[in-house]
Amino acid sequence: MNCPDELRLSTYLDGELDPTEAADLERHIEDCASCGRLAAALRTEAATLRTALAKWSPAAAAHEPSRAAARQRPALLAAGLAGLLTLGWLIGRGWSLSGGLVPDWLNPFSVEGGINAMFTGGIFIARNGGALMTGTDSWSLAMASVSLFLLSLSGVRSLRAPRQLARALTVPFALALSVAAGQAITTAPAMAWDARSGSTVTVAENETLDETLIATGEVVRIDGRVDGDLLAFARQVTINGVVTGSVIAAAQNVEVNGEVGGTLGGFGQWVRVGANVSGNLYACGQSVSLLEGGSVGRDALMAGELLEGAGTFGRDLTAAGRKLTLSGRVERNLQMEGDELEITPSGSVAGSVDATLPTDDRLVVANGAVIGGATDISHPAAAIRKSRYSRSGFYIWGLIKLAGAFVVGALLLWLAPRLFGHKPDSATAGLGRLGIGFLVLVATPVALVLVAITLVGLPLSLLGLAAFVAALYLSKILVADWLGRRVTGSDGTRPKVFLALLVGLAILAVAGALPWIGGWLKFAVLLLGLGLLAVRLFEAVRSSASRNERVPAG
Amino acid sequence: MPLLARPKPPGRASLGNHRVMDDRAWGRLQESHRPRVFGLCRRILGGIEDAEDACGETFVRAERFRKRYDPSRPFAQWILSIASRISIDRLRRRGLERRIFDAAEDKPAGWEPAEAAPNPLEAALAGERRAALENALAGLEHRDRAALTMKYYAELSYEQIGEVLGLSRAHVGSLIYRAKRRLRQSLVETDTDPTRGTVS
Repeated sequence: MNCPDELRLSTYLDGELDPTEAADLERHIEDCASCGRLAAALRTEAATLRTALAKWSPAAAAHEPSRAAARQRPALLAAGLAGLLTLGWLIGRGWSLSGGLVPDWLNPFSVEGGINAMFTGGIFIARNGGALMTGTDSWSLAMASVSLFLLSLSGVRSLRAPRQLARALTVPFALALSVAAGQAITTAPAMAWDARSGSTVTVAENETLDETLIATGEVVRIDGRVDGDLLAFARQVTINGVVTGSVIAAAQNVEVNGEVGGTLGGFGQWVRVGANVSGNLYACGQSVSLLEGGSVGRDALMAGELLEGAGTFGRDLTAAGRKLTLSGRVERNLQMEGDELEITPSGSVAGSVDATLPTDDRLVVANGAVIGGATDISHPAAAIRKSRYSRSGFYIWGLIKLAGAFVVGALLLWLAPRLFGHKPDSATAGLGRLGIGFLVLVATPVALVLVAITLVGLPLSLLGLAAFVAALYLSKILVADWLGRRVTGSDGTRPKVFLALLVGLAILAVAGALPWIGGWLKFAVLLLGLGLLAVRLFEAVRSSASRNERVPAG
Repeated sequence: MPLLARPKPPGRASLGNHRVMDDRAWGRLQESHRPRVFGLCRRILGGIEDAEDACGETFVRAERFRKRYDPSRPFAQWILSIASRISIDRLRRRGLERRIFDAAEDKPAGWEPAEAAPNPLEAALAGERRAALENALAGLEHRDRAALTMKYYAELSYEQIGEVLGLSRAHVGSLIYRAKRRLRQSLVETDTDPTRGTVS
């Protein structure tokens, strides 16, 4: 037999040669001195490797092999930051040069545009929640349900529910949760409230309810009397009767003509109030009107594109929107921020008018209109557009916020390091975290409201609210930590994680300050962070439940 | 005549020879293997967090495929195979080591004169140069370290490694052999490079 090559000898020593060959080779090694020496050396080598690998702790070597990448990272980071800054500057500059020719509410990336889109989406879900659950023939519903389903699915999948059954059950549960919170309310056991749903929910003229009513459906119509609060989600909410408590109505079209004993919150595309509202009025919609004959006992807050005040405002009126037309009475002060303010001959303001408008001539006060106090017009809108990026306050506040987030994050890194270092290391995993974040963002407030309604749960709900707010703040820090580690290539050792956190926060701060897309980036960060947090907490709970203490190193 | 034939049955103590395994025994079995699974993930992946994630994922997957586990075969190799697959998948997703799946790179090698005999590792065993060996291990490319880890840390057979990597057994043999050579080479270079380490 010829001398075997080293690969063959190595294969033999690894025990991977077939028995007859191995026997041949064994005999050869005994006879051939040089092969014997090589075999002995290889055997020692394998033993050395076993010992070295068993003892070796790759802590120092973490991430080390990609030296080229590590060398490129600072350069990439600098280039990325420079790119972001330039982009931000260009967009800001372009926006200020256009002189605000395009109304801000038309810009899909503006706050107003976002609210608009949110309402459209929210109304769609509120309107079609039930149909989405049971399935209908409309293709748009199918599309929406499929996308929501995928979102929930990816969210739940990445929770890695340990058993398939559990996972299979979680998916429809999550779907139900995200699609139709309203439906869930109606199926919950009625305790301190009466829940009604259906295509049309009516409280007839001669009917009196002496408890809180939660109504969902296509049309909600209150002609009778509700001696309690009213929560209504529908396409059309009409209140002609009397609600002695507060009303929260979210619908495409909200019409309140009767009487509301408490506060009225109306959210929708059109909100028309012709009622006597004894408490405050909070109305938000594309078009918001306090009709002639309508009155608000206390303060009113109106936000939307087109605002109309023909009734009587018992105290202050605060309005934000494109245009406010006031033909009614404001018993105290009027504060307005927007593009245009018109006070018609029949309009009157007992106190002062404080308006924030692009130019002075956007305030039109007709002959005959009465303003009791001073009229003050300011133009911060132009200032903001021109110089949000040139005012030093913007940067100082940015730095203060950054420092605050860093201090909180560093404290947490010190106190609860397990919360960090989470890596969705693929696009699907990242999407999964987004999905979870979405679920958390939607489900938590719903759950809190449900808990709060039972009164006993009010303190609990307040605690939950505090935790939720804290989670919202934390979300940014978690994402910053992840991003920072990714960018700096930190391996999780002490000084480096703090640097990574700082870098991540800085990137987020710059990205969030970008005009137009900044808000959306912030929203995405919020979702991602909530998802990361939820997964982290879920894993922590699960591992403590299955008495899995910390994984021993090495 | 085939170069490679069926592997010998694994010689390691078999930990899973119960026919019937209740949940508690299963849980204990898992727990007792956790350090080694974590060690494997860490050796292949490097970073601690990533290894923790991979380790967690391994046990989740083991739970899911529990029925597929054949109690007559060693549990260690079964779970370490799963851990290897998850770790390699993570490497691949990280984009750090695309070449690990590139079978063409690892054609079964013919005879090549060894420019570095196994001696450097032997010398390293002496003790003073353990640091050099550890550095050399750290400096290996992921694919090489993964191959060595699967063979000499997890004690998987060529066939099991081949299944994880999607390579034939012959490829695996060649991959391991080359990884060892590169390790020697880097030790030799350390010896001759006056800026790094000292010659003992």
